[in-house]
Amino acid sequence: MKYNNDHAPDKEANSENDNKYEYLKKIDTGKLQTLLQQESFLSDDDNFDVELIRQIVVILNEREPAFENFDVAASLKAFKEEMIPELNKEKLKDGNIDTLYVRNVTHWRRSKRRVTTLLIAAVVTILLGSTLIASAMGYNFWEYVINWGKETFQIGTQVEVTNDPKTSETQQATVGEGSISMGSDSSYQSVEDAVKALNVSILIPNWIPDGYEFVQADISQTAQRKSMIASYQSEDKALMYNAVIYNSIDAAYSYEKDETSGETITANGVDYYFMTNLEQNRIVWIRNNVVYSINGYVTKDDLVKMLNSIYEGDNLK
Amino acid sequence: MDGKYDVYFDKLYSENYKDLLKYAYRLTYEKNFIEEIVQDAFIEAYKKIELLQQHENPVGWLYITVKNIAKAYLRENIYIKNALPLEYSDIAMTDKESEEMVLLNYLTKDEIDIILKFYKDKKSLAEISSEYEISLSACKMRLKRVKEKFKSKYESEK
Repeated sequence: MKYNNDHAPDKEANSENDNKYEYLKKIDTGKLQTLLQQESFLSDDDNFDVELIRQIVVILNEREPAFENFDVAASLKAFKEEMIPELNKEKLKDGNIDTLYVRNVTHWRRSKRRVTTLLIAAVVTILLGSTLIASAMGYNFWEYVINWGKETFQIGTQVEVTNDPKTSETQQATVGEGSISMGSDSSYQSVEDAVKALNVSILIPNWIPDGYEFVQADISQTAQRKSMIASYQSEDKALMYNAVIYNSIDAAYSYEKDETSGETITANGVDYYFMTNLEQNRIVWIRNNVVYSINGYVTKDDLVKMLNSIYEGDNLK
Repeated sequence: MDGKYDVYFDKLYSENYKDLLKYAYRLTYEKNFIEEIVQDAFIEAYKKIELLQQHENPVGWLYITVKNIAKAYLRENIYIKNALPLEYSDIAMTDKESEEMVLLNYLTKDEIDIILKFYKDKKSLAEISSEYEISLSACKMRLKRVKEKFKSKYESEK
């Protein structure tokens, strides 16, 4: 993403983005909508791809124009006449300002701090190099750790997961669900074909909830990971089955969740982590170094049924 | 805000408001919410205009702020909808009277009116403020107070 303080994007940058995001134009409206919401609601601020979002909004708006006649000048006038005097009064009364979204403003400062932290981390990595390399060779996810945060759930290797996702270097390496790099992906018309193309062993569900239909399976391969996302749809509701195989120990997943949700279900020696986020249910687990997750507008019972269909014979309840 | 920031703020608002509105709409598909979401983002921008002018990507900051505010609005929306028998398109058994009956346990008739206008009738705050003949900010504040009162009473009864 191009960073500058000139908020009128220049032509050159636009042209670069047009090419980079050309693939978005081939994606149907429903999937673009899903991608937009996933990128927005599942990725944290540090990994939020603003340019991708802007491109998706442009394409969606080309297909379904909205707010073309909205009068921005009148809105600004009303804002200045009605909101600003109230804000000034509030300021005088309180002597301070609301800090609810202050983290966004301070993000650029944190970025500088992160560079410093990264340098320190690099030195520590050199010092501990042999240990890390030994772990990396075997990247043993059986030693993964989980962390139930207030509004996030993290799962990853023992080395990298910390209690503070915002300052952790893990975040740098995190491949959030929202960060689907579709640019280098391929799409398949069956899950089996996608798994075959990925050339790895991945468990796949044999049952999906009533009303849902398979849409497509996308695979993605980078130096750090291989992943497969199978999408299912029921009218305007989406269901995603995701499997990720890491090639690096610098890996951790972070999932947003509702504050009060979070439950571990154990069956046949495997822990399954169940959570809700807005109206969606999600279940996450690790098996044979693969991180699996299922999420969507389905009930918990349906998620368990999907799990049962994956592990035929296992009786999850 | 100093005059020197006025020009900057106006430009930021004029060049990005409509795009952010479109983004908020694609995020929520709730037309009555989105103006509030984008306005809230610009309220934050206004409050922090000095910092924002130095920000490496002020437009990116606005998108992130809209995203975070939209998330908060959706959570709140779900909370209110779960708490009340407000309309769900596939459940036709509720009507305005039954909603009022439930709400009367927590709110006055006037307070119920604004809640139903916003959450059930899906009117925007601009429309509601026009109906009440009050300013947008007063309307916003009224709705905020009613929501807080409802939440507080509802939580204490749970």
